[in-house]
Amino acid sequence: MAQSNDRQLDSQSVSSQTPQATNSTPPRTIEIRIPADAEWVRVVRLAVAGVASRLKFFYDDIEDIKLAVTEACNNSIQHAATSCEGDQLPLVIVQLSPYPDRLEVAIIDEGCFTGGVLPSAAPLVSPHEHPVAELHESGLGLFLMQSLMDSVEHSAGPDHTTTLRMVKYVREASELNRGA
Amino acid sequence: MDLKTSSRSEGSVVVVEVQGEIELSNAARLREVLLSTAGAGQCGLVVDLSGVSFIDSTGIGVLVGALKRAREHGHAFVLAAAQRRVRRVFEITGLLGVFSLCETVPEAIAHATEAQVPVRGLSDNGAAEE
Repeated sequence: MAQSNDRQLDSQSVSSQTPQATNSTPPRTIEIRIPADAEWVRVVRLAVAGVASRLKFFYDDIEDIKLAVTEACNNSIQHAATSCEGDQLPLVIVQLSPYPDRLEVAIIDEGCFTGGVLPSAAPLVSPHEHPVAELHESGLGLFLMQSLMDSVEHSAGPDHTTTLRMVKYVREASELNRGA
Repeated sequence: MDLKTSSRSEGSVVVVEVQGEIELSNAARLREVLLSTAGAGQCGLVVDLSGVSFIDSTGIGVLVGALKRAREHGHAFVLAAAQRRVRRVFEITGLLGVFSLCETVPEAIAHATEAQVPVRGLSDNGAAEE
């Protein structure tokens, strides 16, 4: 099948059937479970790139999704490191649901949320609005996720789990030309 | 791909070449390298990002920390040759106006060498902003 050079041409191998979902019916979901260890995040990135490349995303959009999912995994891993007790690392679960017109991503960390303000409640403030001396070295993750994805929602579930859901829609070439 | 760093002196400037993906798993190691260099006696630090294919917010945070350390010591801190995807992260976060970002390593070395005071942000064409 001929494709524009701007399209993602690299086809990563993913153990899933081609999605048969319509824009509204649930698709086959690909799930990846990793220990809450930063060493595993690049594996998630590879899988995300593989799944996203099966949809008609542009290359830059796939890179955006990879970065947003990385940030979400980082948050879960850091959260687990500070909140969870015991020797065994909790799991971070990444669910990828490829619809024809969008990719839905859920990142679930299990059993560690103990209350407080969820990150999505934080205001979206660009770091360039602060002088250099006042810039923080952390806290950009949520800003990036909100900037790169079409929607980001954070929720606390049963058993102290937290779920971050993100959606990225497939853009048409005409949208890209308009700079959308 | 594992993260690799190497350093060399170019006159009064130290060039740190970084290769790989800068992410949470290796950011602490990069922080150690950059902070020790940014606070050393040289007048300028150039970070060659040409070999960096991916950077997350943790990596950006490391560079912010190194920039602050360099400015505390009155040293120049210049980023060089960032790939388009890496540069885009700086654009999204609004940090292009905070960092000095040169297209090539020689340009960055020249800029860091000339800087007698902490350099200000650069515009996209490399011109200094006041």
